[in-house]
Amino acid sequence: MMTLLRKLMSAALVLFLLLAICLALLRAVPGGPFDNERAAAPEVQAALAARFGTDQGYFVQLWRYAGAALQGDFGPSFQYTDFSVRELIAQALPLTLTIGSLALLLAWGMAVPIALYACAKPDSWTDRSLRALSTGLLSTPKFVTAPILALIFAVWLGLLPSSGLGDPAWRYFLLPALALALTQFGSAARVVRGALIEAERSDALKAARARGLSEPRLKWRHRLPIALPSACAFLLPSAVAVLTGSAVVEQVFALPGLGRALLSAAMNRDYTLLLGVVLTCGVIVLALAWLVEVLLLFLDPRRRTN
Amino acid sequence: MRNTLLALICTLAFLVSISVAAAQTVLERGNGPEPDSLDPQRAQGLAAQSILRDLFEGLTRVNAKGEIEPAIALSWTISADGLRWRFQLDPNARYSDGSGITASDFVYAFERALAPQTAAPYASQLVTIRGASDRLAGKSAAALGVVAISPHVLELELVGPDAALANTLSMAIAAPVKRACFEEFGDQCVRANRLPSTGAYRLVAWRPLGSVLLAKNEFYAGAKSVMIEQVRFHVTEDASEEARRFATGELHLTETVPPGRLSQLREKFGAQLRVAPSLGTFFLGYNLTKAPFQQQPKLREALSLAIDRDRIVSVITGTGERPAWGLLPPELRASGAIAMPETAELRLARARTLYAAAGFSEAKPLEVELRYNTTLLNRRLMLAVSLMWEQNLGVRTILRNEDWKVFVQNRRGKRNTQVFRGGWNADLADPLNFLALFASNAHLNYSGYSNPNFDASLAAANSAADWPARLAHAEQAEAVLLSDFALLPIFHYSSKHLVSPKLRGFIENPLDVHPSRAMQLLP
Repeated sequence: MMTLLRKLMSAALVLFLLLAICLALLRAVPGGPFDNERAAAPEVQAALAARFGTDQGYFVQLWRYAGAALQGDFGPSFQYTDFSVRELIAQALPLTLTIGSLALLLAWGMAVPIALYACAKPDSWTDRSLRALSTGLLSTPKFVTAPILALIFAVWLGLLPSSGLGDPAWRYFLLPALALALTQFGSAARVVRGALIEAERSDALKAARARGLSEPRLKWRHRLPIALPSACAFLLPSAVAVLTGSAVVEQVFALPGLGRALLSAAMNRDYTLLLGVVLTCGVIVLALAWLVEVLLLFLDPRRRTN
Repeated sequence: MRNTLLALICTLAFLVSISVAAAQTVLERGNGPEPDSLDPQRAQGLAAQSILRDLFEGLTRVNAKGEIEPAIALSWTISADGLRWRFQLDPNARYSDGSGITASDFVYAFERALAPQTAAPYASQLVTIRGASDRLAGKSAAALGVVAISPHVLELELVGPDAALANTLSMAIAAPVKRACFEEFGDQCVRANRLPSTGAYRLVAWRPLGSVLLAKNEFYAGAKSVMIEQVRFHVTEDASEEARRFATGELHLTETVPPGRLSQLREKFGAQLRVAPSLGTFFLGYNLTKAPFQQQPKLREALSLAIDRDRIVSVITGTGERPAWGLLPPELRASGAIAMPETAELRLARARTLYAAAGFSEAKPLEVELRYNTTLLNRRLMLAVSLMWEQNLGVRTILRNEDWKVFVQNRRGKRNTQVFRGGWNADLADPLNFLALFASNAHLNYSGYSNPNFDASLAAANSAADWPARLAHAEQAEAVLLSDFALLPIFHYSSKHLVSPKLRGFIENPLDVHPSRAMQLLP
């Protein structure tokens, strides 16, 4: 109970610091939320500043936003004035989570069996091919992968829509998820391969092998369970990379997700939306960290005893 | 059994045909960025205005040719002194929820637009109405010259004659809104299936940063002539992505086209590419409140003459733009386009003479900062301008590209700008929409230009009783502005769209306004 309380307290502190730093940065960045090509008259600008509280000092704004965040609402968006930040996030979040989860599933679902197969014989041509492929995918930016996928599957083959969101939604999710998954596959495959090779050298596997167990049994019942905890420790950075990568992918595929909202908020100096999205991402990352921790406890009995 | 099977097949075929027919009546439009608001009084961006033209109509509206025509006002009369406009409203006009539109709805809409707490970006367009300036300044008790004479007669009292009033009244800010909805739901009145609209369509779905879906308003007076059942406006922030969606058939109409030469675009898209002159001007502005451009008209003229506009529109932009020697597009000048002064050689010779007369030479060149917001086209344009200045005069240009918000703030501040990217696209087909940018007291006057003669001509144009007089005074004002070399016009914009062969009723017009109600989508 105390551990849970301590974790919650530290999470609250992290989120508050995140809010304070983001607000300070936003205020320091030149260009205000109401600076437009057709800037409104000074009296209208003053009315807008009063309405959104941008005429207040840093600490007043921080206090106001922190209070609003506790209630789960940041008020109206500066840029999209018909919506509250809560409404915008509520619409964007499920899409980002769906595509992100799909991408993680695809990446890890491909990485684990392929790595298992490839490193059965380290330094064989399959192993070397996997390493080359993962390095290639890892070093290709998403803003290159995403348009290429759209070109192939939407423009040339006409199998999937090129961008946007429509019915049925899953058709619009596949390419963005694949674009996110390919980079993650590159890194996940490398990590799983490393963990499997490390497991191969472990005393536990040597002991199992000495007992004369069959190779498939060794692979699935011993080698993989030994390798999984260290591979799964990479799940958190992998999920965070998917979350941050969604900004690029959602922009390329014109998807109304959290990443696109974040970019739009940053470009438009939409303080409330940006703070809302950053805090939401902060909560997601903290929740993922806890989830991975629980998963590792489940996978690695040594952690439970510790 | 056989008959049952046949009936089943027929039913299925019927259902499929219905769904196909329904799907075909959705017009998919690219619309640029996410609309900032769909509240007619609060919306500002072009993306929002484009959707609002389908959602709302006021006393007047813009038709598919870009012309002003009566909308909810069936007719109007103007008093002899031009100060009182009396509008006869259509007694059958209805909101999309079926309730009637009356003159008091207009009174409420104007009061709302002019209330400081609404913070309506276009409120200054209404200052021609008596009491509007006071209301904007927060004097809520000031009498407003918008009076409901009867449920279907509205009178506007003006501070002076206004030949462009019918244009102004076509803007979304002058559209009626239903008081009951805004009083009950506040800002949340602007929601799908709640917002009572007055135009050909109603709001049925809105996915922020995704798309806005409109459906035909069955209570619209001209509903019978509206051929397209639904219109989906897609957020398309990237022109290449938009063109890709057009190529795959996901869009019927794009908001723009990717940058590139007209010939290449024509080759790729053929007759689907529609290019036309539009009411917009790209220019460079000078900071006239500081050295080196304050009190230096000769230097400003030299810099202007050293720019080869023909090369810029043929090599750099290349998509139907026209060289500009004035601020006003030719469509807004009674006497047509301003002719290019002299030949290229003579212009260059004069530029060098003026440059020397301003005190600069090869040994003592002008060093100037050229500031612009970062886009691919701007970068290419500014590079071309700086090269022309260097080659023709020996000017050393420091290019400063900035993030959009930073650029806008710097330009407004007038503290660290010397030459900056300017430009204007018309809200209305009215020369004053451009010229007002340079009025001494205008908040959009980023140059700090001030000339009593210009202000006087502008005031004369503003209060001219008829359109020809307004145009004549506007040209006088422009002549003053150009003789002061207060800006450096480079080209007039063009509108560029990709239009599906299935889409009929798309008419190019200088305002680049394309109401969906006038279009038809073929199967």
